[in-house]
Amino acid sequence: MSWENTYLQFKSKSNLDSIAANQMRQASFENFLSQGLPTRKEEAWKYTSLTDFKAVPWQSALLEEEILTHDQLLAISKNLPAEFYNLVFVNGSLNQTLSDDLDSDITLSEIVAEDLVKDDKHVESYMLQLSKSFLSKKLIINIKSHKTFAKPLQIVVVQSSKASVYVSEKISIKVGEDAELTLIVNTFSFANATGDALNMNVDVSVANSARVKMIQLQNEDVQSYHFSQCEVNLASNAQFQSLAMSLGSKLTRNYLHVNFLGKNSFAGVYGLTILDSKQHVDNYTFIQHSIGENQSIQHYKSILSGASQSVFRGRVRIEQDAQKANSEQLNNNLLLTREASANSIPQLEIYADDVKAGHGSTMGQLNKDEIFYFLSRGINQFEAVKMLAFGYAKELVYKFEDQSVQDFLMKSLHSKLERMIQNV
Amino acid sequence: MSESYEYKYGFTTDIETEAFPKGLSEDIVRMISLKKNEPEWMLDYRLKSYRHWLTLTEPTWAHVSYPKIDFQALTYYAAPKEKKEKTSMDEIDPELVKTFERLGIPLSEQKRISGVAVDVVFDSVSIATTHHQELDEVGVIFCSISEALTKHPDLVKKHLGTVIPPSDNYYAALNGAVFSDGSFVYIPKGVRCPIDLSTYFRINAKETGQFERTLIIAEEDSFVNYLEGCTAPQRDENQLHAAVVELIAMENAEIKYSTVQNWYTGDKNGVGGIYNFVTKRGICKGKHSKISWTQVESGSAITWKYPSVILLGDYSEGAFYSVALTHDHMQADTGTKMIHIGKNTKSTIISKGISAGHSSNAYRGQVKIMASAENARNYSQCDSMLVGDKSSAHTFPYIEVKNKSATLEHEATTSRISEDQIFYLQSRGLNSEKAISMLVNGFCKEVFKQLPLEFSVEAVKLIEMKLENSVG
Repeated sequence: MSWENTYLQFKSKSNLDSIAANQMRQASFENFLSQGLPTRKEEAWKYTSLTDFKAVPWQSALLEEEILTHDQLLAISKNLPAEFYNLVFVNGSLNQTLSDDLDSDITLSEIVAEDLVKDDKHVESYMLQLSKSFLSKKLIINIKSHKTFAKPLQIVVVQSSKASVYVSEKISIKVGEDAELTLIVNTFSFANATGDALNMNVDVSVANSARVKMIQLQNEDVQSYHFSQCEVNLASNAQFQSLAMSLGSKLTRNYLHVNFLGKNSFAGVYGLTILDSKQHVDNYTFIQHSIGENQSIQHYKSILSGASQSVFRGRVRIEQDAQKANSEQLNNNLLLTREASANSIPQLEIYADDVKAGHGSTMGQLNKDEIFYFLSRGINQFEAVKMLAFGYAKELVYKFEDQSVQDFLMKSLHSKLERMIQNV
Repeated sequence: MSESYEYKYGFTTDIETEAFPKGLSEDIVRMISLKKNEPEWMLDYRLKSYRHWLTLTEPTWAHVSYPKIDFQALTYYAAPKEKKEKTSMDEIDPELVKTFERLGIPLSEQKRISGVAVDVVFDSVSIATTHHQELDEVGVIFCSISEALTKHPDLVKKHLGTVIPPSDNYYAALNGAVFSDGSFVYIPKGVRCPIDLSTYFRINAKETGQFERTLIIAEEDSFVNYLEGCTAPQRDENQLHAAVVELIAMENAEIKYSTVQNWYTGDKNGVGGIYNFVTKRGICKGKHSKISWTQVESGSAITWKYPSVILLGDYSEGAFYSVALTHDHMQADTGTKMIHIGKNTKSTIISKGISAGHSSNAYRGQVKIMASAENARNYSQCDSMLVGDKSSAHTFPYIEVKNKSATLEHEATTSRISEDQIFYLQSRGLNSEKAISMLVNGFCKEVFKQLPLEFSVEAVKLIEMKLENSVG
C-alpha cells in the first residue's frame, strides 16, 4: 500500500473539526510526499537505513478494531504499577478501561492548525512531516505553577495490530513555575509478522524553577519501528533530566533537542541502549546553549550483542552569547559479539569563548580478567557477562532517585539482559 | 590584529612567467601533458580524471563558507620562463635564487648548514632539487614528479593514484587532471634515508591554481623523514591550492611526513588568501609499517585537509599530530581518517586547535575499525582553545567500530586560556602576551615535539608571531 492510500484511509476516519487544521494536515502530508523518506546519503541518516521501513505496506491504525486478548491484557497490566498514575493508549486511542481517570491537569484534545505548521529546515523534518500527517489528537499535560503531580505519570503506548499499523502520537507538556513532574513514556507492542510503526512527537516546556524528569522506555517487538522527536525548552533555574532506554524494536530513531532559553538551568540527558539480534538504535541529541550560564550533561551507554548496531550522534552547540556554558558529553559502547557494531559521532560547535565543553567516547569489550574472576568463583560465563553488563548499565538508572521508578526500570533492565544473554 | 603584523612572506617575485590561458578544458589538460613531454598513459590518466571531475559537484559538507570558485577563471599552468634546459644549480634564474633566500631556503648546496635535501616548487613547476649526489649513493630517488615521469616511468605508473584514485573526491579528480609538478620520493629496500627530504612550495603568479602531486614510496625496511613548507605572496584575490599527497609504506617501512603550512591567510578583513583544499593519504601496506603525519596549519584563508592512513598491514601504525591555528577571518576544517583493516593495528590522533579573532576552526576526523581488524587500538585527543569571543571551535569526530576486540578512546575539550594561569605568569613578571604565548606553546607541545628540531623551532616562532596582537 502506498502512503497515499494509507493517508486516505486515515483521513476518512479522522476528520478534524477545524477546516484550517484539515488543510494544514493535508499540507503536511504533501510536504512529506514531496520530501520522501531520507536515504543514507543524508548526513543525519548516514548510519540508519529506512529501506526495510519503506518496503512495509503500512495501514492506518483507525481501521483496526481494538480487541485485546486475555494474554495481552495481562501483559499490559503488568506494566501498570499502582505507584504510578497510568494512561494507556492502544493503537493510537486512549483505552478508558485500562487507564486511570483523567486528572484535571491532563486533557486529550483535537489537534489544531498551529500544531501542523511545516518545518522543512528541521533536521528531523522527514519524520516530523510524517508524524503530522497522521495526527488527530494530542495529549496535553499542563502542570500549574507550584504544583506537583501526585505520582509519577506513566503513558503506556501499546500496539496490538494483526499486521503493519502505523501510528503517530503527540504529547505536549507544559510545566509551570516551580512545578514538578516525573513522566514515563512506555511503548511496547505485540508480535505480528511485519511489525508496527510508532512515530512519537513530544514537546516539553519547563518554566522557571520547574523540575521535569522524563523516561522514554522503548520495549517494542523486534519487528517494529520506533521514531521519536522530542523538543525541550528550558527557562531559568529549571531542571530537566531524561533517559532514553531503548530495549526493543527492529529500528529506533530518537531525536532529542534541548534548548536553554534562560539561565542557571540544568539538563541531564541520558541514554541506555541494550540490543541483540539485528536491532538498530540511532540516538540523535542536540543540546543548544542559546543563553549562557547553563549546564548540560549527556551520557549515553550501549550494550550490543548479536548483529546489533548503535548510533550515537550528540551535537552540542554553544551560541556566541552563551558565555559560561558548561557542557559534558560521554558515549560508552560495550560490544559483546563479533557482529555487533557501534558508531559514535560526538560533535561540539562552539561560538563563545568563556565556556567549558568536552566530550568523550569509548568502545570496547568486557575485560577478560573480570570474567575470569567470576569464573574462578564458580559463576558461569553467562552469569558473569550478565552481572558485568548489569553493573555497567545500572549507573544510568540510578540517576532517577524515585524508588518506584528505579524498581520499574530495573525490572525491564533485568528481563532484557536475560533475553540478550541467550544471544551472546 | 593591529597593522603592525605583517606576513613576511607576502612579497612577490618579479620574474617572467609562462602561463597557459585561463580556464579548464580537455585542451588545457592535453597542453599540460604535452608541455611536460609525458608518456601516453599519463595523458590518459589526466583525461580520465578530468572527465570524472566533470561529473562531480563541489563538496559542501565542510564547516567553511566561501563564494563559489570559478574554475574557468584560474590559470592551470604557470612557470618561470626558461631559455634552455638547465644543467646545474648555477643556471637557475638569480631572481629565483634570491626569492628563496629571502624565504630562508638556500638553494646552493655549499651554503647549506642543515642536512636537508630540498625540492623547490615555484608556482606549477619544480625549480631545483638539492643533494642529488648524496642521495644517489644510497639509491634514494628524490626529484620532481615530472622528472620521475621521464626517468622512472614504471615506478610512477605502478603507484600513482593507487592510494588516492582520481575518483576519490572533487579536488583529487581536479588535481589528477591538471597537476603540473610535485615531488617524487623512492626509498629502496633496507635504506634509511641519510638526510631529511624537504619540499618547499611557493605560489607566485596571479590567479593561478597550484596543483602539485607528491608520491612517496618506502620499500621494505626503509625509513624517510619528509618535510613540507609553503608560502605565497599577498594578493587581494583568493588563490586555489589543491594538492594530492600519496604515501606508500611496505613491510617494516616508516614514513614521517611533517608540514608547516603558512600560505597567505588574507588580510585582517578576510580579503584574499589561499584556499587550501588538499587530499593527503598514506597506506601502511606491509606488516609493522608506520606512517605519521605531523602538521602545523597556520596559514590559508580556508583549509580543508584530512591527512589519512589506511592501516592494511597487520601490526601497522598510523599517527596524526596537528596544530591548527586560525586568526582574523580564517576558516579551517581539518582532521584525519584512520581506517583499520589489518590485525593489531594502532593509531594515535592528537589534534590541537587554536582559534583567535573571527576565525572558525573545526576538527573533523574518522576512525573506522573494520570487521577484520582484530585487536585494533585507537586513541584520539582533540583539544580546542578559544582566544577572543568572536572565534569558534568545533569538533566532529566519526567513530565506527565493527569489531568487538577494538579498544577506542576519544576525548575532546574546548575552553579558553585560563585567567588563573595568565595571572600566575603575570605575577611572575611576564607580560600578558608572553604569558599567552607560553600557555599556547604548552598546549601544543605534544605536537611540536613530533617535529624535527628546526621545524619545531620554526613552528613555535610562527605561532608566537601569529598570536601577537591578536590577543589582549
